[in-house]
Amino acid sequence: MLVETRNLSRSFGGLQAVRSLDFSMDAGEVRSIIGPNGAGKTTLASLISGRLSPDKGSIRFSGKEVTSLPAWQRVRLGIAYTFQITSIYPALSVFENVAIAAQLRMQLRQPSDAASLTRSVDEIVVECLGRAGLSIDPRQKAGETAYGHQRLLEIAMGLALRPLLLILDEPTQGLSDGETEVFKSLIREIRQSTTILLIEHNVPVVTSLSDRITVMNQGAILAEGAPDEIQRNEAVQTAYLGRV
Amino acid sequence: MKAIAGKKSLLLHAAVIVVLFGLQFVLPEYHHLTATRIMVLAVFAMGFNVLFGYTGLLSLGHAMFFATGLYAAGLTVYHLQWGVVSAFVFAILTGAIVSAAVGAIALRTRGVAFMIVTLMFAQVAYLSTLHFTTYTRGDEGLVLPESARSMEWMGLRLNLTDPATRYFIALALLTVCLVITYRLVNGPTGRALIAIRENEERTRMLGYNTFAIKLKAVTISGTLAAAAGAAYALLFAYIGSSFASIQYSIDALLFTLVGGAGTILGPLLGSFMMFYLIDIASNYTAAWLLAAGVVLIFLILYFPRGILGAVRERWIAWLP
Repeated sequence: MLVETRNLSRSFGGLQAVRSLDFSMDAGEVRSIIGPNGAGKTTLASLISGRLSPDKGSIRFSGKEVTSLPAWQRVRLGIAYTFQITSIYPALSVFENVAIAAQLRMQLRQPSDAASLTRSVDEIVVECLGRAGLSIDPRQKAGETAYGHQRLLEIAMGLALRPLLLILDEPTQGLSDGETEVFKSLIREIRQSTTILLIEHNVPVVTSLSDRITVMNQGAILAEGAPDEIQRNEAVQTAYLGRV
Repeated sequence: MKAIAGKKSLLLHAAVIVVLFGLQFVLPEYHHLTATRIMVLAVFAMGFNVLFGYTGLLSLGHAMFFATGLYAAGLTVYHLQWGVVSAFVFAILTGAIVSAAVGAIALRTRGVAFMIVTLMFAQVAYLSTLHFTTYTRGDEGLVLPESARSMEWMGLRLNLTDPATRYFIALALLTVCLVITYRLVNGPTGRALIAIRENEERTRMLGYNTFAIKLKAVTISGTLAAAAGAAYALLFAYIGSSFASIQYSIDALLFTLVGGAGTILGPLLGSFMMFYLIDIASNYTAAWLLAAGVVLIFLILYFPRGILGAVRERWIAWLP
């Protein structure tokens, strides 16, 4: 088990965004979380990444108890989070954006990460820009690139950390159809080396990419299963897809 | 391409030091002394710039760190008859401890609150120098004794009343400070500082312990300021409360803004320009602050990133 939450709860004022949630996923999976707006998807992802701390419950990652660890320590354990609202360094160059992530990986110098021992930050940056399919001039200011490129840049920053788990929050939001296709093939490539947790609205994207889908509603898990099971599930159809 | 830019900027910074070295032979006496003062103040501003220009944290209390060095060096020399070198080393250590302690508390806040907390701390420091007047003589200050006007250094006897010696020491301090900031800014820490300045939340989510990095920045920044304060006390043999006042915190900010925040040489350029501007203006009018104000308005309108900031943006992208 790569991620396991027990009895996880978090409220904002009177609103229980996540309630007593038991969620788990295996290493190597591509897992998607879907659900209507306000179902608690982003809150769950934020709890796992450590951007938010839970009111109750526990989170284990890769066999370790991480509930009380700050976000930056969880990143060092291998949880990378890309933001729903693009969060890059707009005033810095595309290259520098990825270099900031790559530098951290080099500083960790984990023995399991052979590349970080032999290669330079610059080499890692070039590789990650390539993997993310960003063929723009890396000297360009990140804030001046097209929106789709900024989303890919976020993913490149995530890749530069070489995470065990890559959490992508609404990655296809605002992308054109063509860009979404590029994104899909990118995920298929990334999954070779990384477990992926996808928070996504776009049902066709989710069904074509995921091994398993978790459906959330009102802070709880409504259903979980392979994409075709979920599509047949009546409760899901009622809550999310609407009664046909 | 990167390597060439690195070489160019290294050459530029070395050239600045060489020019300053050469300047002492041509400057008339008055400007010679002024340049010495400015170089020490520039170290103060460069320390401030590490925090403000590179990390994006605006401290309104940097006079506190300058005064920490000033008093740590001055009081030990005056009351304990310490030698100049040991007083200077002591002042730097005290500066490091004080800035780390203040940073640990002030960094619990951010933005405007950080500005206010640092301002408050500085006020406490300023009022303390007045309160403990038995030791500090408050506003009136202390003139350091004759015994502290010379120092033994590596078998060399240096006379601190000699203008050439003072100029040389100030230049040496400036050079060390320049090397430290240059290495810092161009190294991994500099990248992390800039990342925090540009987007702290993202930096945290890339695995950086942003609190620890910011604390490091406050400590380096405060220690450089303290070194400047100590040098000021020892070179000019006077310590007084006015150095702890808000005026000096504002000066550091002003010098940095004018020269260009987030450029290594900006604070140095800004120190020279503002010092001379005020100096020249006050020869003609008592309203010299007006002249400073007009220059500031002009700068903000046309060079919002300071002089070197504008130069970097428009012409020399490789300027660190």
